[in-house]
Amino acid sequence: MNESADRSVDYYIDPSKIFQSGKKTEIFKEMIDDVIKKSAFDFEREEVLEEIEKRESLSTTGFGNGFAIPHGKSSQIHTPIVVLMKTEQKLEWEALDDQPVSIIFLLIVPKEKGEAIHLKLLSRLSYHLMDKKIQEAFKAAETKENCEALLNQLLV
Amino acid sequence: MKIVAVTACATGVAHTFMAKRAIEDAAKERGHEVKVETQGATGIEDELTRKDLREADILIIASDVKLARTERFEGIRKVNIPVAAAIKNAGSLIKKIEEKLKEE
Repeated sequence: MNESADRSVDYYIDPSKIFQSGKKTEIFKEMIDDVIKKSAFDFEREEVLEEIEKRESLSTTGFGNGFAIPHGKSSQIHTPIVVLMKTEQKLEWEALDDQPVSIIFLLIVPKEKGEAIHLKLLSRLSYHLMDKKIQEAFKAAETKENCEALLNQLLV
Repeated sequence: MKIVAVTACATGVAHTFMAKRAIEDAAKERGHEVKVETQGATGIEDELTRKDLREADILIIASDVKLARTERFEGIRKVNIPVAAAIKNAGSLIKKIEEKLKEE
């Protein structure tokens, strides 16, 4: 699913996710489980989960307007995975603007060194996500194809 | 006004660059010249030169971590804030700086 051999970033997109739990930890678990179960990406959940939670405990990754960008590393992947999930649910994230979150960009980054190109792509994504116009575009994107096209614009 | 800034966060992947964008947008919106250096996971990018720093009216340091090459920043007026504050409140931060500098 959403996999491409020659791309320097992989995607996993779910534009209409329904989370079983509103708890952050459970949300991370669900997201990672979806990726592992429904795609060909294979990595150990616990390592990534631990990284993501460690990062989240430093400060919230909910950066406002309903968006969050949690991130963690895995030693078992070689290409970063951008997991984009949109939900109708309003998730409590202790975001910077105290608003609930419904669009999550989960970044899973390879732990190995020498991934400068990947990191650059992710930093570019973060940079553009502050743009109100781009935020609106992601809010309006209803299908996987729409979301993928937007990500491609920002990452390629 | 010429504003320079340095941003850095714990992982150096996301918030460093979001803060850069927030400061750039807020400064430009209020008609200022701006340059933002990032110290992220890929090292220093858009590095502030001596000239940038000499010409700057203010240096914003939006960082949660220890910065590299801070010797460049000696003797320059600066404000220190957490990286999240830049993402959240870059606009009001710039306004506050304007007021502070006008008072003098």
